[in-house]
Amino acid sequence: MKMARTAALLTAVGLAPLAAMVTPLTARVEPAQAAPTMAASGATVVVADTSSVQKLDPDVVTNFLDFQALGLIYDQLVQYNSKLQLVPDLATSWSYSNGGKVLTFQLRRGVHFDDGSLFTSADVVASLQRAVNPKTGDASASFLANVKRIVTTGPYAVKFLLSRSDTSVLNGLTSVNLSIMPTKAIAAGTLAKQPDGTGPFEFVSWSPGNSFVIQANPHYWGGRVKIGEVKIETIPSEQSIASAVEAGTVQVGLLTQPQVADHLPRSVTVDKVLDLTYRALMLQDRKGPLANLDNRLAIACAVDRQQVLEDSVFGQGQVVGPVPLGPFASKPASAVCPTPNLTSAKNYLKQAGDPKGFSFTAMTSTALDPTSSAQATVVQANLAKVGIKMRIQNLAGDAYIQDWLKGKFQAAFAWNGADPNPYTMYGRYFGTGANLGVPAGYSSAKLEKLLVQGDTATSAAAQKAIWAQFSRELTSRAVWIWLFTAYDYAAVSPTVHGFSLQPTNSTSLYSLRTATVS
Amino acid sequence: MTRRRAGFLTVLWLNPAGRAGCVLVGLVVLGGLLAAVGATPYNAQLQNPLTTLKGPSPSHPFGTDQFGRDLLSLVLEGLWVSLKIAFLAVAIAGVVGTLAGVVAGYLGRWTSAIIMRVTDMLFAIPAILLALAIVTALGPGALDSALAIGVGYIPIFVRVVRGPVLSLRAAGYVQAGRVLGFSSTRLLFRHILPNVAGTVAVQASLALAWSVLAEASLSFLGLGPPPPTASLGEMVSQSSSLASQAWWTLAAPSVAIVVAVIGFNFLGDGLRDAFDPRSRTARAA
Repeated sequence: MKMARTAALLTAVGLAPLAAMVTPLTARVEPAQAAPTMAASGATVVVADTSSVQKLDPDVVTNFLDFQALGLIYDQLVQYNSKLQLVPDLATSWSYSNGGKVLTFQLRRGVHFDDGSLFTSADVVASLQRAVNPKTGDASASFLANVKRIVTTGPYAVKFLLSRSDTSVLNGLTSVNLSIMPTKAIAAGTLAKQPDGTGPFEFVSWSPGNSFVIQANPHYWGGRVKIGEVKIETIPSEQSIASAVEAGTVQVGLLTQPQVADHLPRSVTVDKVLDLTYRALMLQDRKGPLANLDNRLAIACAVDRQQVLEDSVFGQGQVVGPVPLGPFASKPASAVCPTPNLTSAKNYLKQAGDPKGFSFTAMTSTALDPTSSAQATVVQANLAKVGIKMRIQNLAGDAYIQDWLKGKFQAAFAWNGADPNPYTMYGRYFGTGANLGVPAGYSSAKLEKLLVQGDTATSAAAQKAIWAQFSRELTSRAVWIWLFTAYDYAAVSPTVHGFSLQPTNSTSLYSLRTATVS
Repeated sequence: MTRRRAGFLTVLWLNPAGRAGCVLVGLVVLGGLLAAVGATPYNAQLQNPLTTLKGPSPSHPFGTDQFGRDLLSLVLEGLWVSLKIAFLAVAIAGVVGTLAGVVAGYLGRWTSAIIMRVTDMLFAIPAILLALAIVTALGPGALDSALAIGVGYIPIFVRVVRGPVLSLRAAGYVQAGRVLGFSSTRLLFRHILPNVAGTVAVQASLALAWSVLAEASLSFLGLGPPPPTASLGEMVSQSSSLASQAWWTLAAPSVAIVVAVIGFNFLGDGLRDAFDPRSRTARAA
């Protein structure tokens, strides 16, 4: 690991021959071969979303569309398939040893980055070192919290030395935040302006707030990409996106509002998938009225989550707790008030010393989540019934993300990414050294302990019990108010074949790798 | 034949545009006042899961929205909010713009040059763009929206007032007043200002129409008063995705905006004719 780092450093400062002398000691890099080139001709597919691509550096993105867009340029070591099973990506196989404390990956051979350089184990080491470097600000660095070191055991093999048995690290490695980038580009610091990956598409241009263009990667290891170019355009209204798909100017429209998706003409294919992602009212529990547990519990009891679901997405989804779906799904969704209970809410307010209620501000961003305005309207009316005054502050997408990352909010209607593994979902918010601890707004030793216990439990029964306790702890402390999970929709032009949404929103566009256009 | 001058209100009512304006603005103001005194059919903010997206019916003449709220009540509240913001915006623009126009026209020279160059600068920026910039800086809210819209319309009042004042200061009765030793303040406020009142009133009526539209635009973009304050623009924005399945959610606030804007425009046309002495004399003959 150290030697590989030295090699990267030497290469970066222009001493490549010296680096070549160091590198063979740790990772035998094969001489770069000319990548096989396939014709990159094909039609353009225009994808429309209400949001816009905000950043180009995959390590720091937090916006769903950024994940979706950069996920077409970059590969990770492992990936989820449509059934949420882990499948090979740049790693062809993996195995645990030494009591689960060593995780060894065998890497794919003959893969090239967009800059032409050959993918090797040194790139894995450099990419993941960059991710865990606090200066990078990687949104998923916590996924690697239990990785002590990553060492190369050859040009196409890496070992993760873990501080404890950790199976969730594999789930974490599916994140675009942990994409594999070329060592040279990392050293040059060009990734924030020039994405450089091994994925099916390569970067062409980015017009902030407007469009993001990528073209087929002729060297893609996964075979010929049949779509020549993908242009991701920002259209602020879902109704306009639907009209554009209908008119044929957009081929794939990403939608969240069922009232729009359900009224598309029959000529447009509508794909929908119940998404793992979830909507929550995130609370900053460290100061102000929301620092008081009883005030938070009053909110939890006053909010009618079923009504929020009905009015914001017309019931197309389900009310969920902290773990939305899967074997560890939270049941009931809330430990204190599974259904609205205004009497309990008023009692909590009395206990808090605020019998007449209190005021706070919740931020939304209709650009990032078009349903957030309706969610806020319902919650505002729910809370008003017990005297809690919630002001709504709607922000532009980039302003919302900036404030969210800095924890500059009292409450935020958030649309958060999820994972089948609860540790992967919440380790970065509530785990030890959580890198999203600031927006999470809450921390406790008990949550940290439960996260570790859940992650290290070996039997399914023990895992289920621990994650149930974890859900209870989150909802009984009203850390946030979990609302619902909903369907994602895509309006697909009849000319596009083979496009389907994925259950993890951040991979919604993955099927463009294999889709075709007639 | 002796010509006599008809009364101001008579001329306004006899003018088709003026009459239509009076009726439409009367309806809008009446609706707003009903909301102001809490005389709406329902509590506009009352959500009812059992009545979501119901079409127009005797119990809900304008239908209900996706939260089960009565749209007629919401539209009336939205009108009241729009009217408050529009009147405040026009008051700001009218007072500041008229004073600046009178001063520029009466004093002339460098005072006029400074005021008119500032006016030119403001004119260079489209009013709605200026309002967007101001409200983004101040934050969304009724007062902030009024200020943002008002600032954008100041230059129009300055221009409209300065012209007549330039000719009025050379009028015989003003010159006579000056010879008699009247102060500039007296000349301005007792003799010149009343003579531009008609121009200002016409401009104010037209500015009210623009202000209602500007307020709706800001709200549509999410920069108007935040919920639960009802806002016509925000209602249009919210319901745009429902248009194909619940047309009334879009139609109700849209029609309210159109009626208010057309009403104030017609009223402005009527006022212009009514303030025109030739028109009044002709009518009376």
